[in-house]
Amino acid sequence: MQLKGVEIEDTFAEAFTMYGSRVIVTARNEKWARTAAREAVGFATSIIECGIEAGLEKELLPEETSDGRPGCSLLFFTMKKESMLNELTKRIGQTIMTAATTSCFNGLHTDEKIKVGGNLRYFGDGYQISKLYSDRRFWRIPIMSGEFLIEESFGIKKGLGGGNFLIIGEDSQAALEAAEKAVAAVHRLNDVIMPFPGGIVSSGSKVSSKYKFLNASTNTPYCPTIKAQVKDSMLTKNAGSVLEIVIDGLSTQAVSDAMAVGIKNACIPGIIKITAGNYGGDLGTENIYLHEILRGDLDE
Amino acid sequence: MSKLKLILKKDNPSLIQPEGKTAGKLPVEAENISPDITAEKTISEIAELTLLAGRKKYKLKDFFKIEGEPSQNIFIDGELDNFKYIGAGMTTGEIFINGSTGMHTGSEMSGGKIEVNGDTGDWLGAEMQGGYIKVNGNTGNYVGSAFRGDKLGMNRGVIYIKGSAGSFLGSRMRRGEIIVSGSCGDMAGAQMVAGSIYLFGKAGKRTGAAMKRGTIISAHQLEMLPTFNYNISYYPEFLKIAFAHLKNEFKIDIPQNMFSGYYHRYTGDNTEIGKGEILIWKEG
Repeated sequence: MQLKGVEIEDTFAEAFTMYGSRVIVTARNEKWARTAAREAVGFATSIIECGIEAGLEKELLPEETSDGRPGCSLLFFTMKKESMLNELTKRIGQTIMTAATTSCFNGLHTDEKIKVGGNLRYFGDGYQISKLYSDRRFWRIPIMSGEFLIEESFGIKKGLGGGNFLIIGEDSQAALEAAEKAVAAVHRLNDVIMPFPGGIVSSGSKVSSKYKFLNASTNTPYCPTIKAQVKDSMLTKNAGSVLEIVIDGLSTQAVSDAMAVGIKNACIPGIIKITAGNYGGDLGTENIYLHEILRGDLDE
Repeated sequence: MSKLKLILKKDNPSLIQPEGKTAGKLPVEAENISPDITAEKTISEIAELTLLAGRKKYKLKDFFKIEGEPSQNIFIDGELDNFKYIGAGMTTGEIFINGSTGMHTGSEMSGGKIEVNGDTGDWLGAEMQGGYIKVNGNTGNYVGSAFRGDKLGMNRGVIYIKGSAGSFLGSRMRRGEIIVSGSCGDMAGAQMVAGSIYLFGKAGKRTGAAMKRGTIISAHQLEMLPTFNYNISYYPEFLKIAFAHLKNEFKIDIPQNMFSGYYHRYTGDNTEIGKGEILIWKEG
């Protein structure tokens, strides 16, 4: 099956249940909101080595935030519910509270909540002040620049991590251009993030290694520079570069929709094939089939 | 929406009328006028509800003409300044009073809404646990306070007074918000434990006396007690959240100038633990 002349492989992305939270960071201006956001979601590409996956969902206008200041909406995902509290406490405490003029609010209104601000308040050394407005409690923590305002509780819900597709291009320029178009399109959607740098993975992995001390290693079947050396290469002769887009979202639907949007935008001249990463379907909790999410858009 | 209407009779048992002329009014204890009670009863049962006028027991129908149907939504028409405890302890529903009410209106309520299109007596919302009270006129003393001998006053809920308030506003309050658009008397926030008081008009003497924690926000300069310390002039970002919450959820008018400028931050009362704060707005 093809889409705009690009082969869409009949396969699926194997995705996993994760737990998601949304953090809204605001600041006096866009510059400091972006600075805090960038730091907060830094080094959060893969759950395996980073302990959390995170990304910028979208930038917010002053009229879209609780305190009427410019802000950023960030999504965070962990494998275990319990680790979210620890990860958010560390990240907000070290990267948002330390950034000039910032405040931090819950952006996910679910019944289940974790007390992130309730943990960070102790930084106030007894001078912190609680404010309860209807059912939302805030903490005012005195800091050197003034006050840091943080909501006590942040919502948490089941989401999906590891939605993905691979873009196989004739060369690195075509693959990068396609991946950038896909990222730009997915960025316009709510409830999803792409946790890797610029939304793109250039060094995907497989879950095995010749070395006993490693659980994962470079994705040899999709490495173009060794396609003649490996027996199980998935690349054709004309394939010159492969980039992957990984998508985490607050629901299976959000991830599926984002994959579909991303793939449609990645189908440009110079792209040979779009496929997806999976482990045979035995490890994940959701298998997202490319032909299903693109139904109606594909040609024979 | 169904509604129960109670219209005060011109001639009712609370009136003291020697020789046919009204010389005064007996206090009426009217805690049975509550949505929790009226919603569960038939009209004839509502008519039989007991109200005390002085030492004597009367029935609700002796005071009011009853219209409409049993409901959690009660409309009362009449000058009820001698009626006490209206809506006291209510947990849900709505009471609208087209007139004034007496003492203890909405005291110890934990949910629902009371709106008084007139004035109220003392102890409005005293020890309330939740809900919303709006007074379009003026109120007496001890709004949201603790009763004599009790340690804590209101604990959650919002009281909005569009007119003026008396003394000891929010005395010993533990949580919740009180907003006064007009002036208020002496000792506002006295012995306050936590919560927020917004004073958009001028306040009397000894504001915040013996407060432990909590926040008093004043649009006008206050005569500060010597047991408070000045810290800084700044714009506290949390006020944007607070004002938005009052404006959007309760339709409360916030003076536009308070969204900008500076606030002098005083902390005290140092005769207590000194963790209360008074924020006084200053033009920027």
